[in-house]
Amino acid sequence: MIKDKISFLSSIIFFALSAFIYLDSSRLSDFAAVFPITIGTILVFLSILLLVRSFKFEIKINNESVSKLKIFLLIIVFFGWIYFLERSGFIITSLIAFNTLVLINCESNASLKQKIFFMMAGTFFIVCLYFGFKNLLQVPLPDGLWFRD
Amino acid sequence: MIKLKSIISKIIASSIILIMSIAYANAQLTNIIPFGPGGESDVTARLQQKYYKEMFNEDMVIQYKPGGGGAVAWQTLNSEKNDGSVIMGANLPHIIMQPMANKEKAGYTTSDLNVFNFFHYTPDAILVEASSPHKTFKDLVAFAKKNPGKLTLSGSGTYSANHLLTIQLEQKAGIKTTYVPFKGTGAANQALLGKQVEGSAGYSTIGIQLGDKARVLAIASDKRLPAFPNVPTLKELGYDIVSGAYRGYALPKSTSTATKKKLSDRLMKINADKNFIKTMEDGGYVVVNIGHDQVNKFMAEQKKINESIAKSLGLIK
Amino acid sequence: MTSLFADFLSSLSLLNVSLAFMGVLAGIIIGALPGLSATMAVAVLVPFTFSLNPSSALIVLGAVYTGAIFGGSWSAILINTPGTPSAVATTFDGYAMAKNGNGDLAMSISCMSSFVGGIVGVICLALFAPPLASISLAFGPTEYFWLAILGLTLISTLAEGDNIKSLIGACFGLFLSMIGISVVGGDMRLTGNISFLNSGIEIVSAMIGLFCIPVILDLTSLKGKHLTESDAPKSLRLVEAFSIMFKNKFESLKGSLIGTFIGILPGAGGSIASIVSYGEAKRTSKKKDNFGKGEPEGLIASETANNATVGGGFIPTLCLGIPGTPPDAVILGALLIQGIKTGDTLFTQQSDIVYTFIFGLALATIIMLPLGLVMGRYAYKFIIRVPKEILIPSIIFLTIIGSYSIQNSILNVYFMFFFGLIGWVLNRAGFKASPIVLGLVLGGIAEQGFVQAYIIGNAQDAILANFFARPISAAIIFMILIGLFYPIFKDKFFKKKELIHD
Repeated sequence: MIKDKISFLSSIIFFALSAFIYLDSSRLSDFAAVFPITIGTILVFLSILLLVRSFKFEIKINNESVSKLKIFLLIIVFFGWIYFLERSGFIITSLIAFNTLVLINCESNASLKQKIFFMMAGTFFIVCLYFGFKNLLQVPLPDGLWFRD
Repeated sequence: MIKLKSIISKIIASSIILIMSIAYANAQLTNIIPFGPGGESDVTARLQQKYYKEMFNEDMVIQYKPGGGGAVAWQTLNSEKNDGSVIMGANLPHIIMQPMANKEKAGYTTSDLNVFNFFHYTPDAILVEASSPHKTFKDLVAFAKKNPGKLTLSGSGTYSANHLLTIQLEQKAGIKTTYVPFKGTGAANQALLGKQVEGSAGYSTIGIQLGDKARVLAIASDKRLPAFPNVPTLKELGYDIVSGAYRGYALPKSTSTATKKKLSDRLMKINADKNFIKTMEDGGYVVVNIGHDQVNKFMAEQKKINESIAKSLGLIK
Repeated sequence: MTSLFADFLSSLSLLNVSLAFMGVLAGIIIGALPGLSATMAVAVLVPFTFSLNPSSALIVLGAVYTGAIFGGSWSAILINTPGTPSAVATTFDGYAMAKNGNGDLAMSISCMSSFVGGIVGVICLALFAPPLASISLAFGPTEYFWLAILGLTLISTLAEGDNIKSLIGACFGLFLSMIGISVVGGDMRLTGNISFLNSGIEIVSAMIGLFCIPVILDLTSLKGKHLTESDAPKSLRLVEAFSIMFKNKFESLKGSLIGTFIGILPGAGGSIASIVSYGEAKRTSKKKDNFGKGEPEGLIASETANNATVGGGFIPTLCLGIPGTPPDAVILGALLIQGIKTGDTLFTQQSDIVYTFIFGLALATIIMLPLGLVMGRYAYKFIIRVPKEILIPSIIFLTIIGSYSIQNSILNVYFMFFFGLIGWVLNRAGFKASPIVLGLVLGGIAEQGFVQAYIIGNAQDAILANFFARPISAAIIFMILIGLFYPIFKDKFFKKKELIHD
């Protein structure tokens, strides 16, 4: 039936996107609506093409298989890093997150000495960049809302 | 053993960097500009930065927080430090017009901003390209009257100060123009100089920037500007249009009055410096001295003026 | 003539040489860090220029600018993330070369290409500034529109295999470019009521997300090293790089000229220059099938073009007072504070300032060559040696700190992250990043050009004439048609010949 599942799904999603574009454009002034409607129409056309194609044949994508667990952990830590950045402050959050990531990514046969070395190198790196950004580049990295009065 | 040595040397190196950076970061005033670099807010702030360092021996650090025509920065003002180490640029008519036209979109209200100073304004101006057949403002109006809609005027953005100027012109001079919006004054100027449009609705400062490539036909100021002694004001020509963009600064709401006064006095001192005034005026800016004690009254007046403009344009009921 | 020589000498003063050197050095480092753009690099240095004389101020700002544009290629090559938006096309082949074990070669070629592009840009600035400035003025909304369309036709060139998905990707990019306040009409569009999107998609964080996040996710989940170490890590393969550059001297010149030309058009900038140059190189190259897999020609095309925009961008900035690229806007501001007025007077009455600056910019570009090669060697060796355990968190750290610095806002970091996830999913679904970026970067120009041309044409009661009857636009339309139809025509024509010969 459906030869190319990914293309099928993608065409549905982009079809929905063009619906969103049309919906939003209906309340716009003439000038502002020209481009969206044009692009929306082209997108509908292309989505239909993709949909039809997904029934006919599949163009294979070369994707290497991935370790889902590691990706999941990485995304969680990454998001957590951002989420807590302004709350617990730059340095603390970064130190925790960085070192957690180090541990996640360690090869299973890494020795404890290596792990500690990595974490110290990371700490050094973080602190250097923190002061470099703050003072040389005048970028105020978050101090931490939890700790502010 | 070797690893330990390299670790120790790394620790020493980082401590040196740390100490240098801490020493380098002495007391400073952070000036957040709600626009991107290169605009009028930036240029005038840079000028103040120079004098601030000379007069008070303190660094003024300029940061940019562009977005939403300034709204992005103004939304976040009250979450900044309130000990007087952070000030934020405040622009009129923006801070009145934006919340007035659409409160949710703006994301802040005018009273959220603790404005304490206005130090200059750039009056609106009408410009044409140097070789344009319209030699005076009268020529321009005559052309528009004869050819309704054919007077194309470039400007930056829709419902911006430039756009509002053309609308006021249409109303007061009884002509029909076609406003062509561009993304930024650079693009609007390019269209002007490239003769893609008949003229441009801009600021006095653009006249200086473009030099002898453009001709300023009229300025929407109260009196003639020293930088343009031969250019009439719209008032002189019989059109009651006095408008422009005022620029100043605001503090987080919870800042103490004493801190507010101190910062206001410092900025007023810069404003009084003869060289500062000369550089500003040469650039087409008009220096104004509205300190913390006069701001509230001034804002109330401006609010009334902008309300009536907005009403007449149909932006609000 | 003697005054030119005097300007040349003054550009070689100890102050100016050290400024050029330190400027390029700082620029390279700042440009290499993703999230820190050339504009920011220049803006940070403006306060230091107050105590300098005008030509020295211009020299240090120009040096930082050109260094940053070159530095952007480092992270493009090593971690597939454009350090500055102008390096976006450098990721296409630069990163592929790094993965193939040719990373050091890529670093050297990038440096040499940046040098060539920078010098060509400076030469055009020195010799042809006024006429080029008038040409830039001849480009009105109509021309910008057709140029954007020409750029968009490159989608088919950039497509690798799956044409429909590439076109959809481009449409997605165009959709992204429409989010926010429309320039004409003032309406808030397509934001879905997310106030962060009110000013539109911020391009630097979008690029970081789109290019870097997929790399990180792949790195963490796959076994094996990040980049294949090259066979000769010690030599930086200078001779090889030089011979490749020499073999491609015409392509280098072409890329530089494309970059200079796009630089003189205000509102275009390095990112468009690098993409257009890359697409054009791929279209006309004999090795077009190798593009995207690590073809040095692609790298040369991108890096010559983006550094040429530095010199090119100064042309409208100095001659007309209209910034050619975003860093030029900052530089204009710095000039205004110094009391320098741009325009013809700058070239006639204050020509010593301009020519000292031009010589100084050339000097900075020349310094960039050995400096970039040496620093690049250390950067490459460092990245190669760093174990994955530290590399991945460090890259994540850089993306966070970099996207935060754009507007000092955590929102950009969230955006970068989520956009990156979307990019990763799209990538795995077969939608490549390059058409998306093309649409995102060109969409605004295409739309504004169209609507503005329409308004002006309508006011003159000559809409169609405004779109088609203008000489420059007609030439561009001609190029579009040739680009689209010549390949089809060529195939049919040569097929016929083969049939006859049978």
